[in-house]
Amino acid sequence: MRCVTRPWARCWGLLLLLLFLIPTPAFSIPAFARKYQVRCTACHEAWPMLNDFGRAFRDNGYQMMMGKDGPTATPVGYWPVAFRLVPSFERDTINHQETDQGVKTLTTSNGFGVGAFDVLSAGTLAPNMSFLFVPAYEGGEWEVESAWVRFDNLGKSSWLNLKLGHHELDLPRSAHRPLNQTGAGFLVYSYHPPGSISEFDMGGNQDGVEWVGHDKGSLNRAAVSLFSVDGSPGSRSAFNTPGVYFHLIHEFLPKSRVVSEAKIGAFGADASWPTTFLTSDGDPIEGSGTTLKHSTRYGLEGHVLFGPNVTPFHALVVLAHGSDNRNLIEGATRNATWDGGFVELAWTPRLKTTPFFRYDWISNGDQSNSELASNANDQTQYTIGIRHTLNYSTRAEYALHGEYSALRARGLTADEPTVTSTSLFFGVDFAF
Amino acid sequence: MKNFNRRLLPSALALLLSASSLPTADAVAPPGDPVQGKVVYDRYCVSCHGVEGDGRGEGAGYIFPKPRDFRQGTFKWRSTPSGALPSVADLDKTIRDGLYGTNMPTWYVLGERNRMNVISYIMTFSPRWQSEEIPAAITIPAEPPLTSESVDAGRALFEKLQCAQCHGDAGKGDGPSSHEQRNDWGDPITPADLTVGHFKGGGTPSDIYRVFMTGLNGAPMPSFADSIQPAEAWDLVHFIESLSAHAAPNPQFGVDGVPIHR
Repeated sequence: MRCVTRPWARCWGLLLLLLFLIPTPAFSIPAFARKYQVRCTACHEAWPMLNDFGRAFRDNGYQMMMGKDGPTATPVGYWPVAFRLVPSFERDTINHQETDQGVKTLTTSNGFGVGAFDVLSAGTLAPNMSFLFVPAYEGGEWEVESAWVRFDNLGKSSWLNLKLGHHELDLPRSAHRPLNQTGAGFLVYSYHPPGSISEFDMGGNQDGVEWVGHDKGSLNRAAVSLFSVDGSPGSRSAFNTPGVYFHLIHEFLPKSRVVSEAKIGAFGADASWPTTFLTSDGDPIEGSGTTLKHSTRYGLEGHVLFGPNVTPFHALVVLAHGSDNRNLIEGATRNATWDGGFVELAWTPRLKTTPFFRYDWISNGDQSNSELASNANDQTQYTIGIRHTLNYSTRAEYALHGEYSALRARGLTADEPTVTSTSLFFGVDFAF
Repeated sequence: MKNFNRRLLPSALALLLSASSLPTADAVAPPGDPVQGKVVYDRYCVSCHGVEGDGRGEGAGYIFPKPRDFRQGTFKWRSTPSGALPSVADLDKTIRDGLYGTNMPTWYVLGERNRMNVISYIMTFSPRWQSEEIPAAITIPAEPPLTSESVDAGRALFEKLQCAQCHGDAGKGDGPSSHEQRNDWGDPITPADLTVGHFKGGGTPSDIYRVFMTGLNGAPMPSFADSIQPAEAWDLVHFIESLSAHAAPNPQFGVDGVPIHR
């Protein structure tokens, strides 16, 4: 596909759809269940979303800290590897799609698939030294989704943990452990104003180093990542194309029967991207970028768990503001800004069943170009679904999953229609 | 549906029993809601302790030492005299802090309400909670100064009481009868290695004192409350501490290293 005039404008719908269709890799690692003989429910509020115990376990470097964490403390036959696969049926549509044959409503997917196949290897190399290695097979190719080592409890302090490698940022809601399967949502993690060349995705894994500190039970925690922005064409700067991310969170445990848990937090990211390159035959040379310009996003989060936190009604609100430097956008006359967020509701009335709903939105503020309508490319998306675990044990878990999502994106000019893309998904999610 | 009923039946009966039977005057009042406690138990505990609280959960076969069988109301880690039920605080301490060297992690993050609820549910597994009262915790007198004389006296007592039969001459848990030890359920059990600096019942001097004077119900470790005086027990504490004087402190789940030594 070649986009000639206003390339970002014509391709925008399909780009959105592409983002929409990328299956969401989800982590839940039964190797830990086998190692410690606990069920998935011990660490997951609703698989694969972590609960407090799971977060504390993760923050502690995948350790229970009871003298049985090191590899020599486990039986010789234990192998820290798990697998995850989601055989599924998916139907995706998009309307008002410009094609050479005119504007069409397309069904872009309508059949069975197996999604991604994840190999999840995680555990401890030694006490207080943990690792995660996740090769994933998708679309006929293997990709290393995560690969890091972490030095835990340095100086015997839970406030000093250093992770090095390709890692997930410490997000308000993990994009790798969402309840949905289709990659829908989390617009505030990846959104860029129309025409921006930056591809920074806060929800994607980054190469770099992360510091995490937390108190007892991880009620108060902080994380800072320094990284080279994933997907960047590269620059000659230190750290390639540097980015920084922070996340602070505080948890309350009110003595109320209505609200069992509440959390507030703040996060922010600043990611650079090269805007000029040395060229060869007119083509940019990778790694030769200069004139780094920044896109930023920062925001607040609030979690409230209604009812007992073992079977909670979990409400999460994330509000964010973002901007892209005008030099990242061709023809821009000013920096582009946007506001957005998401509301996620998940109810786990029984340990095996979790209906969920999420509403995402992006509302553009200052457009980069006066040609664009003030609400051009504003986006909303809702996702509704249900997961029902058929069985879980200390060895494996498998669940039925149903989900429907719809994303609406306004046109870039007043005469362009709103594009709606939808996704219907049914699958069996299993991890062993 | 059939499986659903079969799995719920024992718990439902236990709850029904606890709710419908007339408690005696000595019945222990549950500190929380056993119905909610069952949900906590099903989420976190059942894989080891089993649906029926018999310590035969699906993961129990791969765990050493074996998970506690709740049906007898027999618990090792208590502040109450030998043979007695533990206090709610004793159970909460075990759940909150975990047991180092076992598969029982610290469940601090559950919060107090969940812990009280699950303790209430655990109480439904044994009729003892309906017929016995919880005696007062043993009295732990103030610790005398740590001196070399006290350590030597403790060493002499260690020999006199034949502690080395199980714990070994150097306290490494490798005494001549260490491999023969079994708990009340017939499961193999190893005497504690006193040199590593980790004590399941807690690492403070008072915690160690308490073990001597209460014994470990269900395990071969007896109570010495009737055979040694408090001052002698402190001597033993000082000697035991000397065995692990150079060991690393006991880290806790999500906590900075919690020193068990002075």
